[in-house]
Amino acid sequence: MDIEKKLQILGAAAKYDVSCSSSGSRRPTPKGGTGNGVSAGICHSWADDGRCVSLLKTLFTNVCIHDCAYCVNRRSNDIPRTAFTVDEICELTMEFYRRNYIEGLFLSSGVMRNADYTMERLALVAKKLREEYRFGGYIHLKAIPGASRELIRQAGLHADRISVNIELPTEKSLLLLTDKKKDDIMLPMGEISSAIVENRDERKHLRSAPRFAPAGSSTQLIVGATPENDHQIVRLSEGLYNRFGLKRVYYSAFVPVSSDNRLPALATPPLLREHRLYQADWLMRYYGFTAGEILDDRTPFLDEEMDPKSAWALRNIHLFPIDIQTAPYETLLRVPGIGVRSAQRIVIARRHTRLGYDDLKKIGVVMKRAKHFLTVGGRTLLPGSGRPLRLIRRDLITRAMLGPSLQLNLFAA
Amino acid sequence: MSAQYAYDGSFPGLLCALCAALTARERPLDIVADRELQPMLLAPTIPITTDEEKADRFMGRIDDTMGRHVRRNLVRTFLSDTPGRELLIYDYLSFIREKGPNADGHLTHPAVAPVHAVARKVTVEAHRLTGMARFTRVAGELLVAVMEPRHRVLPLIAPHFTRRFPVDRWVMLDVGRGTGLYWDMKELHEVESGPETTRLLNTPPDSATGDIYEKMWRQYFKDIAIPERKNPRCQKRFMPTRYWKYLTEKR
Ligand code: SF4
Repeated sequence: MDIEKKLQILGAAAKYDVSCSSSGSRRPTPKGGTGNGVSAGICHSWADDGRCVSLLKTLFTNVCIHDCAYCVNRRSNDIPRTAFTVDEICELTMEFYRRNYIEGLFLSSGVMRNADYTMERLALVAKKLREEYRFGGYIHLKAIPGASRELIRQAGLHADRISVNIELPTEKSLLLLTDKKKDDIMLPMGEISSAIVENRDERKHLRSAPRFAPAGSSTQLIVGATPENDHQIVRLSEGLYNRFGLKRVYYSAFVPVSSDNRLPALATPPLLREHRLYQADWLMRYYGFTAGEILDDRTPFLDEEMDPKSAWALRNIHLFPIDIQTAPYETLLRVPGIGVRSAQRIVIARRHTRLGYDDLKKIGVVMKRAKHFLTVGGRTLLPGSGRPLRLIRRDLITRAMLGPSLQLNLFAA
Repeated sequence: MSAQYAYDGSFPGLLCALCAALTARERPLDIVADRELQPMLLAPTIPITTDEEKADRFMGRIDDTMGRHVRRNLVRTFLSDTPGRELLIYDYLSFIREKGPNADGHLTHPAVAPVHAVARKVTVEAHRLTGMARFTRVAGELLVAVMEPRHRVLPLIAPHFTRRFPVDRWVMLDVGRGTGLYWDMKELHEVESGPETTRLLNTPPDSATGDIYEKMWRQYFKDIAIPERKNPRCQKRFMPTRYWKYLTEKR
């Protein structure tokens, strides 16, 4: 099979992996080589589904010994199978990179023969790109569940990021839909996270020690294929951030790719739910919220009509209004309509002047939402505070711009 | 009497004009490039001679007394081509001179906010194009990126590509302005509209080189979108259609 045909099959098969980030790794261009890592990451294009394209995302092979119900590559699916050679992937990466299509490579794979055999191929691609092609761009490798520690460690020496997908939020679901166990996934994840921590320590003492996955690790959860609620999902994510030091958890609305009767029959992927989960995730990573503040047993699902911060503020209306001139940065971040960028700008600008309504608009605060929660110039913005929640709620409802804008939305309110 | 200053349109020229205007301690009626100059009936026009050394010294003083962030905003506002940008810069500098280097944080002040807004637009476009510039292979292993940016971003983005592709020969062209930068694996050269450039400019974006990687990229771009999630609105918001003309995957 020629390389064009292979890319058609293996590129398309990788599209359900939603991670696209190329951030977190500043890597200098190798001497006489090509490519570097830019720590903020760069998006190169946006696909027709609105998702950012930053890396050449492809499978090494779509051959797989497993039979996960939700996956197009499952053994029982009758589709054409193929595999790249190590050199083919290297050439593709270099030629795409040189034309500035991509920041680098994101290589995943079905499991060919066994986990170690596959993991070895992926590690070899990374090694070759670095050593023979003198490539300094971004490399993200998937760790194959069940692969040996040794191979994962080798892979991480050349990759910027190495990750394992959890896919299903509970072991019960995992057992129902796959032939994998929790340990197949959690052991490599633990291995990666301890290797990253050890490496950080080692480099503190010895600057010349080789780097291990400097951009850290991430994972993906499928949303809507199994009955878990949002509360379970955000709690799981919180645990992954805290215990495994993950950089990102990606959420992927379940797209039915088979009619397996263990799977729900969905007319459309639950995109709104996915979008709200990303917002909740941002609240935990950038806004100082805990999973327990966002949801609890009484409120197990995110509000579809408004973003999770607005929903939280409405439940905690007794904490407001706050004074725009004196409230600490962390408190500003909790106001609906104020994002990271506007909170930072407020903190800078208020040193110079007493901020008024128009100033806040200029700064980028969405006043329609924020006005219910602020005191400006010593007065609340709304005549007669203690407004009925129903009226506040009306201003907080937003039509979500669906399609997770994974990178740019970061600092939006 | 307040005057208008005329400079040659270059960056050092503008610095000399700003230096003169700030020294005069009277707000100029306008600072304009010669090509945009319109004689004013009641005000004198002061022609500025560009003196690179003087410009350097002035820039050095800005760095020392106002800070690097002020230089950054100044440069970016200049590169924006926004009408009236010279006077915006003048007001910004004179405000900071009066209030001290921290005055740049007076984000809502009329002397500061417009410069920040314009500089930010330029920064956003430059960042976008570091990702959306597309190189095409033409004869002799040369890589050519053609673009038509709103702002003059080439000088801002070229250093990124010299770091990234040091061992390739490449050229970036701003076809709207007929300017370009050429990297010969040692340094950047400004490209004038000589016959060589014209030939490159006439290389149709859809080059008939039959480059197999261009073909594969286009196919790949189609294949990675999930059909059930089609979202043209989101796509266009992040990748405005005015850039599509030169995107390999979109033309
Ligand atoms: S192991 Fe991976 S590739 Fe194989 S069927 Fe399961 S999810 Fe798909």
